[in-house]
Amino acid sequence: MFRLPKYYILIFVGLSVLTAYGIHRARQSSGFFHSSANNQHLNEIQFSSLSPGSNQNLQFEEPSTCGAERLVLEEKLRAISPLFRDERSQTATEFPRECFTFMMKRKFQDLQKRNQDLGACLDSQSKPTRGAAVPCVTKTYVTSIYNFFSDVSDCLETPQRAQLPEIFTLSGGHLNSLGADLEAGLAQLNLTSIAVANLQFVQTKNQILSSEKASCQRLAPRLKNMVALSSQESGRCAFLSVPQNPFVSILYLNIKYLQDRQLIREALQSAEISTRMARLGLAVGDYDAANLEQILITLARSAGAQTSVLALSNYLKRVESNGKKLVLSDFDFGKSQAQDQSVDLLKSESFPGFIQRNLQKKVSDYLHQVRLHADQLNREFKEGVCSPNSFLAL
Amino acid sequence: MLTQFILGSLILAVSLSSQSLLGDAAEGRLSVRQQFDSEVTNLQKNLKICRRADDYWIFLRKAESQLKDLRTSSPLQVEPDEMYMDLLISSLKAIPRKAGFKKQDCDAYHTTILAQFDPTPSGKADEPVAKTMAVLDLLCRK
Repeated sequence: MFRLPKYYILIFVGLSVLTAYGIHRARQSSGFFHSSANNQHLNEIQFSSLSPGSNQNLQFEEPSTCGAERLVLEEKLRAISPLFRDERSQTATEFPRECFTFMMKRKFQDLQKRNQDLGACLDSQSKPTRGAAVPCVTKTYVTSIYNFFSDVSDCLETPQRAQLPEIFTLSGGHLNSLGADLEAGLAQLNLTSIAVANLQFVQTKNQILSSEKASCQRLAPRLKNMVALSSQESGRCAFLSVPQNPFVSILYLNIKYLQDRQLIREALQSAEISTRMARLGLAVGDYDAANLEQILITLARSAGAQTSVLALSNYLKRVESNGKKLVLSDFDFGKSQAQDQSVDLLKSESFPGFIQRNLQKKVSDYLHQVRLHADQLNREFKEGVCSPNSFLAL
Repeated sequence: MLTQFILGSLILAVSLSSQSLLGDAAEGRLSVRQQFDSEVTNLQKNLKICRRADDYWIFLRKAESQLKDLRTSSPLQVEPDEMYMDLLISSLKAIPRKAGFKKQDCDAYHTTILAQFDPTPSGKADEPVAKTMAVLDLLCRK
């Protein structure tokens, strides 16, 4: 029988270990490696799902075609550092820039009219006036928002795609959006949300200033002398004005996201939601816990983080009392809800249906709207490109 | 000092006697939700006339424990009432207690409770969180 000398085997094992270690170190040590791989991945997505030039909604507008009224923000964007204004060769963003281009172009279709959902500010201290022109969706406008969003979310480690359907629903990413109740800017935060985000402002500022992450270090000079912004009505323009924005709006949006997520995690634990769901037939392995968390975070915007979990807890109480078992489709916000409230239908009612009946109408409408906007992104791009897979569903 | 003590004791006595009212209610004269509301109304009344600082917290604790007892001793209510009562108990629980309560932080307490339970654009909570905000306002005024 053929036998290898022992030292052959030893050399083979030694070389294998060295090769594996080498590959491991290369993957671990190189942030650039990760970034460029990420970029390549994004390019593949873009070119596999879109054919360039085929969709007007993915093309930038040329400033020369927009007229002076629609170029007000463009002028002011010149005051932003090229570090954020110009296209980057490397990015830590999980999604292509076209997601923003698409949202911004789709949100306001009638470009000729001034829009009551858009505001104008003379400066960050003034009062906004309604009825501004739709900003020209230029390369600089989209790139500035994309780069700030990329850096803030990378620095604070918030999920990126999960925030896009809400941005699309609320402002389409436009910096001068002005909601019915004076919710201002890209993030459309109301006065209460700004006030509560302010409670975490100093801590977040210190976190960014002391971080060694490249994204945080790019943001640090802008943040160094910044103080928490007023949550009074008179402070609305601080969230609409350029060049303070897009940074301010995106920063506050992410602070609020983290606050809500933390509260929801604690409340889920204290209400023993996963144990109760498991008893009702949905164990943690049967669904993605992050998707459930995202449903509650989205619900929190209009209902509050604690109320979101209380609503889920009450829904489970009802399912328990009906002796029903849970199925994944009970948490699908894409399905339209039956208006029939017959006893049989109520017994098999889903969580979206329960919210519709027990919380204010605007709350359930909002979730449904966000899901429709996520679906719109998924139709235009592949699912998972601009919006997470199974968004607002388990 | 003596007057304050006598007044405080009187208020406490009146408050304790209100338990018998709740006892009547538990016998079926009032719905569980009505009993709930009446307990919170009593708490607000007591906080309004309360003079001794320590008593605020005694009243709050007592009201909370009665609300909790009422929940555990009652069968499952109709959905809107279940949600209403859970929201009221949870939002009251979010008010910091004696050891951690600082008057100068009242704005932050107000903002936090509103944001977590009822983030209305107007900054004014709807029921039942409005009841909690009224209790908080009374504690902050003292």
